[in-house]
Order: sequence, then structure tokens, then C-alpha cells
Amino acid sequence: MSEYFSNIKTGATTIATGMAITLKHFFNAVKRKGDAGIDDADYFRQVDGLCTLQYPKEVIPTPPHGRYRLYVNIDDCIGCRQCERACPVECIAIETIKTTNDDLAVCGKTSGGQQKRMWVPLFDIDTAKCMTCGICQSVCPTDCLYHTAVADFSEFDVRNMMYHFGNLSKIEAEAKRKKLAEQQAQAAKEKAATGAPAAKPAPKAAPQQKPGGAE
Amino acid sequence: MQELGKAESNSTRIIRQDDKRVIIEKDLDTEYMVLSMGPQHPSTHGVLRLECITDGEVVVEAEPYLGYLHRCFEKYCENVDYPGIVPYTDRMDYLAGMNSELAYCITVEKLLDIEIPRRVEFIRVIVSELNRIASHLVAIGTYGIDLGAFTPFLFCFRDREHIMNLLEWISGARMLYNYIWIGGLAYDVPADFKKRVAEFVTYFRPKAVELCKLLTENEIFVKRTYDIGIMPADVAINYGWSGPMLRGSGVKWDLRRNDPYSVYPELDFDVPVPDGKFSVVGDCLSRHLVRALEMEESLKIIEQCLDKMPEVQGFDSRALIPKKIRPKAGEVYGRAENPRGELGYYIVSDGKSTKPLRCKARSSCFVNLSAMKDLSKGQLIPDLVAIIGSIDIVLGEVDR
Repeated sequence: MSEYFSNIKTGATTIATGMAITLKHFFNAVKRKGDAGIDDADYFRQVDGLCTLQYPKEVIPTPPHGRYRLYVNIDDCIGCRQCERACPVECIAIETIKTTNDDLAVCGKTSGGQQKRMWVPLFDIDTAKCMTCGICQSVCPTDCLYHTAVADFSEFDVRNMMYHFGNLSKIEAEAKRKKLAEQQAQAAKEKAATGAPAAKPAPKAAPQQKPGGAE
Repeated sequence: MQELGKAESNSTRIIRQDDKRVIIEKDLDTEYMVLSMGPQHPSTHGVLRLECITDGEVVVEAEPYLGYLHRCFEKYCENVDYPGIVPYTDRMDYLAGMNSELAYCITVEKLLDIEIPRRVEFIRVIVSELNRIASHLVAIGTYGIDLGAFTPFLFCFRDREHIMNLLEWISGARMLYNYIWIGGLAYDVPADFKKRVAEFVTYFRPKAVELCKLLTENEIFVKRTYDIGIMPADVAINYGWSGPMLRGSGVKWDLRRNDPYSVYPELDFDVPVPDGKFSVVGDCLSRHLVRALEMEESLKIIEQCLDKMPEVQGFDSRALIPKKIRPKAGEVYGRAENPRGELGYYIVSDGKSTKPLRCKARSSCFVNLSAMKDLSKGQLIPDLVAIIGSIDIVLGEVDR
């Protein structure tokens, strides 16, 4: 019988303790916690109160190097395609055209002073596929591909999640491709005329050396 | 719902009379009913389906059906190179991404046989312990929700938010970090990080006590979990249980102590095991207590790491990361203590490729869940909810 009443007593007291905590919070609810970011020195000294933010009027600030939407500074891209190869989900699609020698000046240099040798008519990032792992960012030799702190970029149509960064329009790209093909054909013709006799003995010599080396 | 038809006339009927007594009535004409719990049931923590054969309100047998979240982790691993697998390990146990990454990186580093800078080791331990607290907060909060206590959940998530912010600050992402890399870290920690983590520890200590008062000591909660779903230690070991589940059954087994990795041997912390004073060893309440006590131990570990972490001027956390990871031919099994138990990776390398020949993950949740059939026998349906909650499954890891 005494156990029965002691059970009721512990039940009532523990519930009252819980209620007291809730009540404390209830009275605190007239105050509001601010939206200070974690890099703010007073982050843990904010007032104890409501901690819900009224999105989208208020947002939790993202840290400056937050890994969210991908961005390419295409002026610095040298078209090495390392990001495309490294991406685990294959969300990057790149197409490159070799720059002809007379176009090198037009193609320009990166901000690091490196001569660009590729046109990049197509640099598409499917942000719907991107899992923001940051591997592409780590392999980029010119640091032109990076995640930005923009976290809210939802769209109603999934096709709008495809971001285009290419530095040539379709017509321009066609012209460059044609120019390169012409120049290559010209070079091949010249090679056939002058360099053909010189080029032929070389492959013959190579197989003769190889078995000798192996023995 | 589907009826199995009438059971045989001399069938038995199990009835729970009160908390402790179960009476079995014979020669009663009863009908079994198949009740499907999940995959949309809110108490199944994701997409787990339980097919319960019930006799009235008593569960005769409950069988878990998995695979709703299967993402072919192993097949993925055969097609991406070693660093590319790290983001996928985040997505296995998405509540404790850092711990999954740590386990994977330890395994590959074992295969490569490379040294890790001491500062990196300490940062790794700090972030994984922070993540362990975050994961336990979710486990405790959702367990409260399962049993009808909604308030503790909100308190848990308020505190978890701070950990999420801390981890976002150093890694750039809130849940899927890709922070721990093979041979190093993605970034060094920000200048104020140590100060802020120390502030978090002082902030969180009283909150953990408050949470204890709010949930763990609450009589209604205790009544719902005390003496429910008892798992004896020997059966737990035979099932291959690990982590808080095994410790809840009274076995002092923690990989941080029993198979030490990283800098854990230098750190001073206890492995909490229930002593049977507040709970019956092996019941749902013991498992809950282990998680609640472990958060305090994690705080201790973090404090010690902050003291011991060497300060290096101009530290480059990526300096020792190999350019091309191509391990020698061989196989390796590495494991680490996840918030949910032993997470292990078995990796086979053929010595030629930059991709693993095979990468198998040993998931703790999956193994812990396998005892569901045993645990649920003869329990009431509301108790079944308490049992699933106490296992603390993350379906992302169960299905992989």
C-alpha cells in the first residue's frame, strides 16, 4: 500500500520538475535569441529565449567558406577537366576547343598569369545532382571552381538547376572549331609535304630497339 | 491488415497482466492478425517496415523488412576512387557523419601505412565526439517522441543546433561534412574554434542535467521503459551487438578502449555501463541511460583534447595527403566506435587501381536490428515502439 502511494508521489514530483523546466522556458519566451553566426564572439552569450528563426525573413547565417552552390570563375578556367574527372556524381560537363596560335592573346591569361590554351564553350554544372562534397574544388589547379555560401537556391523547375558557365556562345564556338579544324588540316598537309620522309624511319627504329632492350 | 484465419483450438494466448507478470492461457480460440508497421509509421525512424503477427495486443512475432533506402554503397565504391568514397560514408549514418568518415579514413590509412600529424588526430577526435553528442541528442529526443514526450525533443534539437553550427563552421556543411580526408583534413580549424568549443562544453553541461530531469527521471518515461525488451548479455554478444546496445546489457565493451585507435589511449574517460540500480540490466531504460551518460564522457574527451591539441603555426592539414592513392595489393578491416556501435570497413585493393576492388561496410544498426525478432516476442504493441526506439536505428546505415 505504501509503495502505491510512493509511486504516485514520485510520479507527481518528477512531472512537476519537468513542468517547472517547461514553465521557465515559457516565461523566457518573451525574449528572442538573435541570429548571430557561430563566428561571432558572443554566440554563446545570447539571451536565453525563443530560438526559432522566422524563415525566410531571418536565416541562420552561413559561414564564409560554406560549401553550397558551386560557382566557376570561367575567366580563370584553363579547361583541364580535372574537376569533371574527380566528381563522384558526374554533375560537371565540360567541352573544350584548343586555341589556335593567333587566338592566344584573345583567349587571355588567368589571374595567376598562366596562359590559357583552351576555349571552354560548355561548362555545365547540374546543381540538382551536386552533393557539395568539395572534391572538385580541391583538385582545381587555378582555384576557379569553388562552393559559395549561397545555400538557398531552390527552383520550381528542375531544369533551372542546370547552371551554364561556358565562355563562348554557340556561334562563336562553331567558328572556333572550324578555324581549328582548318588550321589542323593545313598543318597536316604541310607535314605530309615536308615531314613525311623524316617521320617514317622513326617508328621503324623503335621496334628494333625494344626486343634488344628486353634481352 | 490481413487475417491469418483461425488458429488451432489448443493454441496458447499470451497476455501481459501488469508490468512484470505474463500469463499464458491455453485452449483459447484466438485469431492471429498480421499488422504491418511502417514504412510510413512515425515511430520506425525512417523507412523500416515491421511485419507483426499479433494475438490481440500481444506481438507473437515481428520481422523487420529492410531495403527501402538501399543505395548500392558497395557497387558505388567499385566505381569511385578512394577519396571519392568519403562523401558516401557521410550518407550512411547521416546523424554521425564525422564518425563514419573517421572509421573509413582509419581503414584506408591502415592499408596505406601512413603517419598522421598529431594535431590532425586531435581535431578528428574533437569533431567525432561533438558528432557523437549530436547523434545521441537525436536518439534521446526521438525516443521521447516515440513514448509521447514531445518537449525533450525540442530541447535536444536546440542544443544540437549549436553542434551543427560548430561543424558547419569548420567543414562548410551542416550534416554531410566530407571533412576528414585520407591522410589529413579538408581544412584546419578556424582560429577561434577552440575557444568556441570550450564555451559549448560549459554551455552544454547544465543543459544535459536539465534534459535528464526532463526525460530520464520522468516517472512516465521510466514506467514505459523499465523492464521492457530485456536482452541478456550472452545473447547480445551472440547477435553481434555493439555500442550502447551491448553496454546496456552490461558488457563493458567500447572500441575506444578495447581496440584503441587515434589518440584515445591518451585520454581519460569512463565506459558507462548500467549497474542495475535504476534499471534492469539489458532493458530499454539501460540503453537510454548509457546514451545519456556517454554524452558526459564525450564532453570530458573534448575538454582533454582541447588541452592537449598542439598549436602549430601555419599548419597545413592537407600537407600529408597522398597525391594519388593507390595502395598495395591486400585487404584490411578497420573499425571505430560509432554512436550506434562498431562501424567497420573491409577494403580489398588489387594494387593497380585507384579504386578499391571491394569496400564492404559493417553496419552497427543492421546488426543491432537483427535481434528484433527475439526482442519483440510476447511484447505489447506500445512496448514494441519503445523497443524500436531504444535500438536507435538510422535507416541510411541499415540499408546502405
